[in-house]
Amino acid sequence: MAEPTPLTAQDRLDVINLIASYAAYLDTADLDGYVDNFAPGGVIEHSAGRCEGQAEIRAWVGGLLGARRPGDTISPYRHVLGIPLIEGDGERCSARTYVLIPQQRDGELTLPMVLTYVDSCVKLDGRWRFAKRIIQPGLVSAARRSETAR
Amino acid sequence: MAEPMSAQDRLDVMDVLGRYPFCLDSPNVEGLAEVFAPDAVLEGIGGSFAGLEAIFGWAHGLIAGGRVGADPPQLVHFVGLPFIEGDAERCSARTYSVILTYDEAKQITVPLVGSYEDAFVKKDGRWRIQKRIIRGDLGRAPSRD
Repeated sequence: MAEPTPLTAQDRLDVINLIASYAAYLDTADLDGYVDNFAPGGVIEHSAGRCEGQAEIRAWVGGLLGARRPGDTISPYRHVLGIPLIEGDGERCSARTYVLIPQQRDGELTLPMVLTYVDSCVKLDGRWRFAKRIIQPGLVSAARRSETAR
Repeated sequence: MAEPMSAQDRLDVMDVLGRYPFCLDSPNVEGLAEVFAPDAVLEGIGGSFAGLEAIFGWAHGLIAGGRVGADPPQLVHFVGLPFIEGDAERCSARTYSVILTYDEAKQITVPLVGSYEDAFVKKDGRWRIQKRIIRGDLGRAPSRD
């Protein structure tokens, strides 16, 4: 079996862009863009469960985007990313990235969550996509914990 | 005269900067060997540390405080986008760092916004920090309890 090619500068920039676009699609409620970032059999593991395949991912994220409160004209959240740590080769790589998730509600700006994205990425037909994203809990405020427990 | 800094060099320097917070927060102290040169100097808020062993000791001291590297996490080092200048052998980088932790009510708070002033050197094809100065710009370092 042929050795995989090394991860090039172009590959790394493409993976950085993939990670950045995830946040942009989520914050602008671009569901098609969000889902298309995942490989056809892509997986998301999150605090409430697991989605496998683009149809399940679409249903889960569509539910999150539809859960905005009446009057929310834009997402009350922003996903602010740190520097990704990327390791792998020209076909597959892993990445770890911190994300701050500030929230604005009723005029108040808070920081309810600081999470880590742990990604497995794969290059399919020359394009990097997520094979798996684990949304790993980091810091979660008490207010957010009680909100999700309800 | 050294070659200009390539895109690959810049990404490699960013990779080192991105590795540092995970080494402290995971924690993976020995992973700092992929961040600092063997004879690196770290000038932190708590003093100056020369050589990898001293830097490992500094990191273990932070972790012993109970917040850094705790499971579940109690503190995160969030690193911003670096400003990198130099050539293919040496460069400098300036990077903001936001320290996040819990307050007494278990809400997330920002006790410190600092910056890293780094001197990088490439040895055997690998970029490492030769000298890091950690500055506290806004706020103050969280207590170790």
